This record gives sequence, C-alpha cells and structure tokens, in this order.
Amino acid sequence: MQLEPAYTIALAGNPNSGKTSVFNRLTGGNQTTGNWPGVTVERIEGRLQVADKSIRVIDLPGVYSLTSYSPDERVARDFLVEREPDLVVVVVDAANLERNLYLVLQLLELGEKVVIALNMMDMAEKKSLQIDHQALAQQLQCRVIPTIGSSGSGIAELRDAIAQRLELPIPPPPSYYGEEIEQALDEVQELLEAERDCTCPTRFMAVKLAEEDPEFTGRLQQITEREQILDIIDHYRTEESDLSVMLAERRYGYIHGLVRECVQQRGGFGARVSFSDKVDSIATNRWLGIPVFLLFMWLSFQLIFSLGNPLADLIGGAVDLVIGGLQHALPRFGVHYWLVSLLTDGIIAGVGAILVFVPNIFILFTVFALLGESGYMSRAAFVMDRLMHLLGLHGKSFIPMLLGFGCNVPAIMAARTLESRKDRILTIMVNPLMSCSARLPVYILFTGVFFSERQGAVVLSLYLLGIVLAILMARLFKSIFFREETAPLIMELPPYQVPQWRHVFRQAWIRTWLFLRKAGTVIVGGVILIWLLASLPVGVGYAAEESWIGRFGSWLAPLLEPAGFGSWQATVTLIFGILAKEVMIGTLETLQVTGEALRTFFTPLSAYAFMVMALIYIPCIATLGVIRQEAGTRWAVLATIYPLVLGWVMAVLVYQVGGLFF
Amino acid sequence: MKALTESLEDYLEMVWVLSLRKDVVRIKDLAANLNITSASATSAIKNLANLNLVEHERYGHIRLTREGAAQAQKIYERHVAINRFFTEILGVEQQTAEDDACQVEHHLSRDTFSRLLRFIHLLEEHRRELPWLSDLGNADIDTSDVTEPAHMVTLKDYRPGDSGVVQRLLAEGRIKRRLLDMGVIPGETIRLIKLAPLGDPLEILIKGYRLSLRREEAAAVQMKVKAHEPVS
Repeated sequence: MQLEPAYTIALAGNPNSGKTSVFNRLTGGNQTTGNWPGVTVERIEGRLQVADKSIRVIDLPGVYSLTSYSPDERVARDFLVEREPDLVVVVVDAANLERNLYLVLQLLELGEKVVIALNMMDMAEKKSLQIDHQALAQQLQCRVIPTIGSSGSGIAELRDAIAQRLELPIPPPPSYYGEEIEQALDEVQELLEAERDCTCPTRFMAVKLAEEDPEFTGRLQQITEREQILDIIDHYRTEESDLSVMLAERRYGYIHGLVRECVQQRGGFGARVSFSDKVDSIATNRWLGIPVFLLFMWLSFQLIFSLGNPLADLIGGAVDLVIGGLQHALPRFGVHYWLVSLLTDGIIAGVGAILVFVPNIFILFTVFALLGESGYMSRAAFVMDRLMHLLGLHGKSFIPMLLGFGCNVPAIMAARTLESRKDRILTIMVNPLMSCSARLPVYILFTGVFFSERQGAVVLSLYLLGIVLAILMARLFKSIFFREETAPLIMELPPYQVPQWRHVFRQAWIRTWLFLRKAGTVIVGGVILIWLLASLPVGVGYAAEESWIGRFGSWLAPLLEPAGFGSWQATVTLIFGILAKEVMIGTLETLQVTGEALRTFFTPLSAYAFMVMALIYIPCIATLGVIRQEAGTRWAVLATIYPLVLGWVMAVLVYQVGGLFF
Repeated sequence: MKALTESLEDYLEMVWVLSLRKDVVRIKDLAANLNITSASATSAIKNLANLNLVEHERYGHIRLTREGAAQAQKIYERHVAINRFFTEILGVEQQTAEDDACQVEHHLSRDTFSRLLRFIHLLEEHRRELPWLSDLGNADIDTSDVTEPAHMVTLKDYRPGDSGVVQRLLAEGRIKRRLLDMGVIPGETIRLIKLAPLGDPLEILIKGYRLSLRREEAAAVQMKVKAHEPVS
C-alpha cells in the first residue's frame, strides 16, 4: 500500500537535456504511464520517497520556453502555470548552459520553487567548461546540483535538495528587465489585478501579453482595461524592436553575464563538439547526406519488417492454433457452435489482430527511440526537409511516409515526431495511400492471373499511383484545412550521443503499451462487428450470400458496377478487406473466387480497377484505430470517407476511360 | 585610449572579431586571417601584451584584457560605422564597402577621420528628417564603379563560413517568438555552418549550439557585419 503523495513536483527542461535519465534515476522503476487528458501526449509519473516525504514526480515534455508551439509544449506550460506544482526540478544541459538557463529564468519569474539539476556535467567537462555551481546558485537564489544522469552521479544530492527546498519559502525572482520595462510590466499587472479573474499569475500574464503570445492576447477581449494595456505595450514598439524583443534581449543578456561569471573555459576544444562535427561531416554532407539517410531508412525498414514479420507470423500462428484448438474442443463440451464462433472468430481473432502488430510496433519504437536519442532524427529531418517541404510537408514526414510501405499502423504512430499539428495531421491523413505490405498479396493474386506477363510493372504502377495521390491529397487538405498556418522549421541539431538501451527499451515499451490500450479497443470492436455481420442471422453459412454481410454486399454491388466489379462477392471481399487488407485473399477463397474462377468475375481491366480500389478505399481497422488515437475521431471519420470516395472515383475512371482503349 | 599604430589596431580588432566567433584565439588563426606569417603575428601580439591590451597564454592562446577588449570594440565600432555609412547611406555594395572602410581608416588623418565619424553619427541620428538620404542610397549612380544598389542583408544571403551579428528580426508572431526563444536576438553572433544537401534548410552556430532553419525563416533575420572564414 502506498500513501497518496503529499507533494507534486514537476521535472522540466529543454529537449536533449538528459531529462529522461534524471527522471529514471530519481524515481527508479516506480513509474506509471498514461496520456494527458484530451491529447495524445504521453504522461509519465513516478514516485519518490525522501526524508519521510512522499512525492509525486511528473515528467513534463521537453520545452525551450514557456511559449507553446505544439501539444507537448502546451501540456508542459499549462501544467507549470495552472496546476502549480510544489516545486520544479529544471534539468539543465551544463554543456549548453546559456540557452538552457532561459527556461530557468522564466520559471523563476513565474514564482516557482526551483531546484536546478546541472546535468551532463561529464559533457561539460569534455568541453573543458569549469562551472562554479555555487556561484550560479547564489545568483539565481536556488539550489544547483551537478548531476550526470547516465551514471546517476549527484542524484542522491538532488533528492535531498528537493526535500529541503520543499520546506523553504520562495525567494524573490532575480530582476533583469531594467527599471523602465519593470515599470511597464508593473502597470500591466496592476490593470490585470483589478480584473481578478485571471487563472494564472498576473506577472506571468503581463509578460505573456508583452510577448504578444496569441494564446494570452486572446484572453484580453474580456478585460475592460484592454486598450490601456495595449497602449503600454505599443509604447515600446519601434521600427527596430518591440517589447517582446526587449524582454528576450534582457533575459539572454542577464544569462550571458551570469555565464561569464560562473563558467570558465579552460582552453582546448570540446571533444563532444568535434565528435559531433565529424559525424555530421558525413551525416549531413552535401553529397553523402541523402545516401546515408536512405541507408538508415533501409536498415530501419529491414529491422522493422524483416525481424518483425516472422515474429508477427509466430504470434498469428499461435492465435490460429488457439482458435483451432478451441473450435475442436469446445463443441465436445456441448458449447453451442454459434458461441464457439463468437469466441474464436470474433473475440480471439480480434485480440490476435492487435497482437500481431506488437513485434513491428515495438521494433519501430525501438528504432525511433534510437534515432531520437542518438541525435540522428533531427539530421534526417534536416536532410529531407527541402523535398518534403515542396510537397507541403515537413522533413520529418518522410519517415512515416516511407514506413507506410511496410505497414500504415506504425507509420502513423511515427508521425508523432512532428512538432506542428498541421504537419502531423497531413502526414497521418495521406499515409494510408502508401501501399502497405498487406496489399501486396492482393496485387500478386490479381496480376498473377490477369497480367502475368507484366506483373512487376503493373504492381509498380499501383505503388506510384498511391504516391501521386498522397501528394495531391496532402496539397488539397492543406489548402482546405490549414490555409492560414505556417509551420516554421526552427530545430535544434543536438550533439550526438550514445543512446542508453534502458531508456530506449523503456520508451519503446511504454509506447507499445499505449498502442495496445487505445488502438486495441477500436480493432477488437471492429473485428467483432464484422463477425456479427457475417454470422447473422443465426444459421447462415459464414459470410454467405444470405448473411447480413452478403445481403449488404448485394445491396451495394450495383454501386460498383460502373467500376466493372459489381458482383456481391467483390463487394463482400472489399468489406472484409477493412479488417485487414490481406483478409481479402481469404475471403475470395471462402467465396470460391480463386484462380481461373477469377476470370468469371473480372476482366483484366476490371481487375486493375479492383486493385486501384483495394489500394485506395477505406484503410484497415487497425489503421483507423491509430488515426483516431493520434488525430482524433473527426479525422478518423474523414480518413474513412475520403478514401472511399477517392477510390470509387479512381476505379470508375480506370474502368470507363480504360474501356475506350481496351 | 592609447594611440596605436595602424597595424596594431588591425591586430587588436582581429583578435576581438575572432574571439566573438571562437572560444580561443590562436596565433595561427590570427596570422591566417590577416594574411601574415605567424612570426610577425607573434611579435605584434607581444607589443600588444606590453601595452596590457592582451594576455598571451600558453599554447599560443590569446586573450583580450578588459582594456584591450574595450579598445578593440571601439576600433571595431568605428569600422562598422564607416562600413554602414558606405552601404546604407551611400549605397555602396557590401564587399566594396568593406574594402574601402579599411582604406579610409588607414589613409585619413586622425583629425579628418574623427570628424567624418562625428558627421556619420549626426547623419544617422537625423536620418528620418532627411528624406533625400534614402534617395541617395537607392539612386542609380551613373558611374561604372558602383553598379548594385544597397540591399538589406539577411541570414538567407549568407554562405557557409560567413558570420555576423543579428541586427533585427523581420518576422512576426510565432516565428519571431520561436527565434527569440532559441536565442536569435539582436546583437547575437551567428555563423552559418552549412546548407542541407538539397540547399535548404541551413545549419547555424549560435550561443554554442547548432540550430537549423529554413531559408524562409533565415530571410527574417537581418544581419550586420560580415566576416568569412572557411568551414574546416
């Protein structure tokens, strides 16, 4: 039994400051994971017991400042500003002190109790930086503990410092804006205080208004002294500068002075810097950058699918074995065949449908954690950005698009690395048009019968069609939904680091688990629904013409007539394909539409139109499940409808226009 | 301010410029940048050390003293003022202006030079009241030596190896806030390290770390002063 913790503290820091390793060292294995309410940002929480205090530790997403640009950053900012943790541990990269201290200043200004973990001291040492942490503590009026997250050095001291600091009052924040700006901020603050319905500290609100952060200027509408406040801020606007620039200048100016007083460079260039430069002279080289990127992608692809697929097959085989065994055994105990079918074809098959994704997804997240932790991920975006930007996407979109050729489920999850919502949604929405490996068997079956002479070229044409449509749809969605939004690329290229396996696997496992929990519900539900449609009314053969699904297929079939495949069998096959694209093959077998029998249902032209439909129409349930998980229900609905319409239009176009020539 | 010979001024200025870009300044960097031998650089540094303007440490590292830094900065600012006068007011092309500024510093008498500086400062102060000044800068001068009108230099115009100081941000909103957060603030020194294989985005060195941004964003960072040192 654990007592409800008496204190809540937050762990904040810049991306790449080694925050995760400090968090893991601080809390040990004592962690729970989940999602922040309403967003797909991972929420990781740990417990810490120190000096009879029970403390809850929240690991916040990495941020550079208290201005938010992505859902991750908003979560961090809102937690710090609105929930007011009892204390904030800021993890600071000692080797990159100036930029890291920027966040520290903002937190002090917010009136937080702050303890600084001066992390990556080993890296600072390699850069020959001598940091007087006591002087730093003196200047900032807060505890500064040198730590090395990777080895655990300094963590015990950090724990003690947290416990001590919790007892002490908050010291006044350092002052660095200068009299004139302070006075302006004071005036704004007074006007805000008169209003008294601010959910955040008025000082913070005043600074945010001065920075013209739209998330806060929007709130001004309700304030009576609005004009006066805007006047104060406008007073500082010149051609060259304005208050937001001045605030940043003063903060960085103060930090610069601080660093000059507390840090000494003992000569000699940093080993870390030159190592990173050496790697980059190849990784982002003018000529080698792209080949190196493609090599890494090929390797990732191989790992995810060549290593993952046999494992997935193993799981699939095991599930089939269980199903077969139960189907054999249960009737002997007098269980009704309908119940047996529900249990096996419905529930167990549904659970199996998710489990088979686990190997691929776990390896994907492992590879991604490796690329991210090592620092290569941002280089990949750097190398590919130009190309993807031309398509209206972001450099980091390339990886999800490429992975889509393997499986859209991990590919869509990979879009998480994109910072801007616009880029993420666009990447997710067009991803199903990347022809996944499950669609290949369908192409092979049809091309084998109808285009055996030019099988390769025909299959390739389908892949290319998918890519072209993805580009067009990305442009279309961008112009419809995100016309106003500009997503800049202002991205740190952190020094390369050796990834820590513990973190890599932990992170991969956390994400796989979240996938199982969230996307799993949709997938199991969908499988059971299709089972019901194929088995009702009671007594019909599974997926026979008289079953609900068969009747539904017969009813829909005329709609597909213009595309050349208006039989109920073709329609039912497509419906089953929503379960998983490769299921289409099994369905055709069940319906005895295989081999030469295909020719009674399709001509070469209608077979091609059918493959076009199979490429484009409704993504499989698992894909829809992750789209809902990653982008929300509304986007998932759109991702169901638009491919159906697009697929139908394209198939009809192929059949009708093709009919003029063949 | 101690009166220095022209060449010592050049050395002092170069030490200062180099120290903005690098953690340590070495004799050989200095020599390479001034196109002279290490031996003459060493003797010049000894002279500066005797004047207490620099400290010459082991391994050939050079560090400016407080006084040296102040004096170097003055020399540098003078250089920049002349340079700005040429580019922004007269509309001289950047490279020409850079070369001419060095000439003026060395070939005018101290008196003329100080008065010229005063004149430039006055002009800059009253620039808004003198609308014809901008006409002058933008005018097509009917001679063969000046062909291009002056244009604003942004980070987008930099090539790998160029470094300079941020003058102001031309962006608004989200992009501006992000740039400020990341330390791209007026007065900060930026060095362009490289371009991505397809020519965009750029990689820059700022505040001791690497940042990448697209040309679109770089066009919003107006720069002043440009020095070039090849990327190793």
